[in-house]
Amino acid sequence: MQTTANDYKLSAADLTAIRGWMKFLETFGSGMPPAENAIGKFFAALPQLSDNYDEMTNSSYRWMVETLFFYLNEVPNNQEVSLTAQYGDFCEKNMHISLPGDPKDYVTTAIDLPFEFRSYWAIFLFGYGYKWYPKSESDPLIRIVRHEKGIKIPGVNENRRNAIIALSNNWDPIPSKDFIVDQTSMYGSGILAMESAKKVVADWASAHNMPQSIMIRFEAQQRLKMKDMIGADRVLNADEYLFIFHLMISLCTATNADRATVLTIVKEQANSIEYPNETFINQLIYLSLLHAGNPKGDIRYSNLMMQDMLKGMLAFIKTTDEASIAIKASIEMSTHMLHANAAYPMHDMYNPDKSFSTRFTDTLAALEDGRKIIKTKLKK
Amino acid sequence: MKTTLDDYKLSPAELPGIVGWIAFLETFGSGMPVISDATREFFVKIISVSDNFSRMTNPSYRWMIKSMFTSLNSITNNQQISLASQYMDFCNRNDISLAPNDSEYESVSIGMPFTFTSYWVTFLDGYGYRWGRRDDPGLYQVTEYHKELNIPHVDEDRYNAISALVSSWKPTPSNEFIVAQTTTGSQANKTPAAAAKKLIDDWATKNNMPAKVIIDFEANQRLKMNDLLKSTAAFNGDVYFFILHLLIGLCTGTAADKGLALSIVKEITSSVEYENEIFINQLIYLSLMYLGDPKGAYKYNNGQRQAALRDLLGVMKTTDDASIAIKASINTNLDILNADPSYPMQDMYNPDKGFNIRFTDTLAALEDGRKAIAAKLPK
Repeated sequence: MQTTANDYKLSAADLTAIRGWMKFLETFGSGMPPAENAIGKFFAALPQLSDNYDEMTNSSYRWMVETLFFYLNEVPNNQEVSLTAQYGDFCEKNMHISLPGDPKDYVTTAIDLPFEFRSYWAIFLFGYGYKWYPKSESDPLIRIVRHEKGIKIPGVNENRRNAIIALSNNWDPIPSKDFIVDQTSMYGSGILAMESAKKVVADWASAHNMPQSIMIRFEAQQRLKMKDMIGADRVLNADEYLFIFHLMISLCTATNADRATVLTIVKEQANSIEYPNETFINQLIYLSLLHAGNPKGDIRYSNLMMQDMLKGMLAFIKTTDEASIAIKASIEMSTHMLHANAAYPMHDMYNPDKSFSTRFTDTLAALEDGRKIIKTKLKK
Repeated sequence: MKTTLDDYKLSPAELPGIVGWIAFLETFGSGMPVISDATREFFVKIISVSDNFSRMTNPSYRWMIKSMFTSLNSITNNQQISLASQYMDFCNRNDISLAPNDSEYESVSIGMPFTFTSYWVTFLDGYGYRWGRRDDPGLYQVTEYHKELNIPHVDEDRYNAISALVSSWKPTPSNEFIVAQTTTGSQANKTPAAAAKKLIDDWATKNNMPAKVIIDFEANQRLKMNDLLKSTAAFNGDVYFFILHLLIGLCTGTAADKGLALSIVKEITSSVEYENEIFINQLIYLSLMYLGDPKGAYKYNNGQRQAALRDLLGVMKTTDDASIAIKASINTNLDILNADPSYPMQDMYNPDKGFNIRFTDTLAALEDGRKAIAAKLPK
């Protein structure tokens, strides 16, 4: 994909959404310790990813997220298992749902709803169901309550979305027995349905090495993106360096080779007039803050918003490799500076006589010099 | 009127009043779109103009506002129509019950100094009746309404004339101007409101109101700006802060006023720190230094400086080129204030320049810019 500098422009809305995406990678990156019931959590996280995607305008990040969904949609039965995983999750969270033993106990006829509550599955699809009321002599009926609808279909990949919608229509009112146990008995219903769903999903995950297989495919694209940026012959601007800062954190969640790339980047010397003998990562975060806080820029974060951004990152970064340690140390140091000086980095207490514009230009130049050296090292 | 620089000093206490006055001009300025029921709205709004006037000490603004009231008082029947407008507004907003039979009132038992025979009395005295509780439907109970009669001060002759009129119209108003509704039933309040509306509309058409008095006022506003631009005195921060407010008011005036405002805001005004800047950017920069100056009258912190700019932005409805430039400059400065809490006590683009130097340089730039603008004005 041919990119231009505009493909890396990040707005304030993008930054929030991208942090959601980065958080996802901190759990499911191929280099992260496998989470318990990872595949169940993976499918449960996709609707949120889709919401984040809708908030993104940055074409490069959108492309990366789209890639992940595209790869997912190539795995056989991914749509069926996605519904199964959500259904299992729904049963687990809603053990209290009661199914009446006898149809005459229903009050549905009285409220004219377009469907019947015969099972957990119907409740999962429509968000209505029954709950036993505290026993009352005057009203022995089971009453209708509103549950949170269990089914959530992520957007991002339209083909996948349409396939799941079609599937849920086909499976209404009776789902495929290959995937769903449509529990209708009264007692212990939720537990049986949940356990059955978990087994279907776990078997499928083993058969297809999920979610690792698609994470590894996605990470190849992520790696490519970083290589393209570091290797670009053109002059990069502050948008692109802010992009690199975000991409770098995620790269640490992937393979050992990715981490080694990041280590090469973060440790490189990048000297500016204001900060000689600095590392690339320190200059990178300094420029990122100058850019995010620039009152004439697009993001226009206040000091507190910059602190929130960095603290948010610190809270979700789970990687502990050498590159991540250096990144976290630099983020921490910057949060301390922001805390100590409300005007930082619009003013810099270590360079009080240097204007914002001068420091911005100098730091960008230092990063460009550093990038050229990194480019040479990574080619070897 | 012979003025000194002190005549342009705006105190922190009167600043909300000045912004209120600008908000009034943003509705009634001759260059603004005409609103429905403009004359009634005008008479309702001049009450808060009067309240603002009472809090103002700045003689220049007081002079301008006073001139509008003097002009208003020269128009035939303006006092009667003012009362009719307020009365119409009162009828529109209140659903008052009038008892059909005197014996149903309980006023005799509470020793009120008047009887509630009509809407008009309720309007004048602020008391009225409302149907009583469900379990006691036989009696109307006394309720206190917000007293609607407010007579603006500003012009003493006018104030006295309206006070006299009220006395002479009590308890029965002139039926040429007021329908003192005494019938009962739902929607009874619509009758006096409709009658007042027709009366006011006819009077407004005949006397070209409120455009007439606004145009008279705008001539004085224009004069004030021209005098300031052409003045040979050396101006200080007080006067430039005044000019900022006057400039925003000017954009609500005639096409010529907007043209004048545009020629002011766009003038190239270069300082040592900011070369090739336009006048409005330097004017707002100086205003912020003036507001924040810890040795000045305002001593506003960053949050107060932001609030001062947002107040101005909040009232501006004009969309001419000058207004667009003013709003853009205010927004840029808000962004910088948000990014840098020390702005403009320190300046991120000129960190090595002290506050005093930047203040002096900016003032000098504005003075040069002002001379250049004055030179372009018609002789």
